[in-house]
Amino acid sequence: MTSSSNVQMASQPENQEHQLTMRARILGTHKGHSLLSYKVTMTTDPFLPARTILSVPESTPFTEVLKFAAEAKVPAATTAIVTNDGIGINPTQTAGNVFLKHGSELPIIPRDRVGSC
Amino acid sequence: MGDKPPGFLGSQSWIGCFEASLCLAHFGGPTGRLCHVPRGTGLQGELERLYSHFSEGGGPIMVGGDADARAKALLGVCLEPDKEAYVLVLDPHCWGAPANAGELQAAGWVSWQKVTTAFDSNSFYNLCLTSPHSEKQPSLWD
Repeated sequence: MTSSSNVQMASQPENQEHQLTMRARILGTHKGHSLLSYKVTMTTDPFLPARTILSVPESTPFTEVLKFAAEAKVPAATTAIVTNDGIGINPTQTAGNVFLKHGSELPIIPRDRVGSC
Repeated sequence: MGDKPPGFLGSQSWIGCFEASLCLAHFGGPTGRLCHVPRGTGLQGELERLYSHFSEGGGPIMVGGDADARAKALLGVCLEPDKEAYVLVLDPHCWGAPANAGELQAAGWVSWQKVTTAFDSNSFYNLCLTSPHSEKQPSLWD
């Protein structure tokens, strides 16, 4: 698993939430298995420099991909990935499975809480 | 399901609409589609979608947030031109077997509330829009 960080980030008002999208693509194959590349970008402007880039084998648990998103200052434990039509994705699947079933652009949303103390 | 670590069971850790949507899929319940409302935007931008959801036979909408994590469910939306929008809010702490809808309202378990009052613009929200299965729900487990 390789990763790199791009420190350039678009400025945004302090109280406004960053809306992020996880974008994936197939880099190639190695010994019959695909290598996937992930980057986290701003949802509203995907052409801004990517926050972080990660390349993983397709068999990588998607939880590891989600943890990498933490490098984009999004806490992994309180982060969720959904499909573009709002179906929640269980992160215990492999990265390859998620890519095949749900496509290459997946919105990242914060996990909410229901119920106050 | 594997979404939480082993020590989660029996803990007092938080869950919300995302976890609820995974449970609906896992246990074969109604479809639960998530709608994220970013902090600072309020619910105004989603009212048309919520109206369509209910008018097309959609079920209750579970609501979760962060700054505003008060448990609530939406049962309806009232939109009129040039008037403030209202949502029908159910407090899910409601228990027992009320005799009728009037009893629920009198006890405060169900009420129409102004959207600007019911939702805090300082909080983000995740809405879980429930609807009956019309076709095979996308599998999340294979």
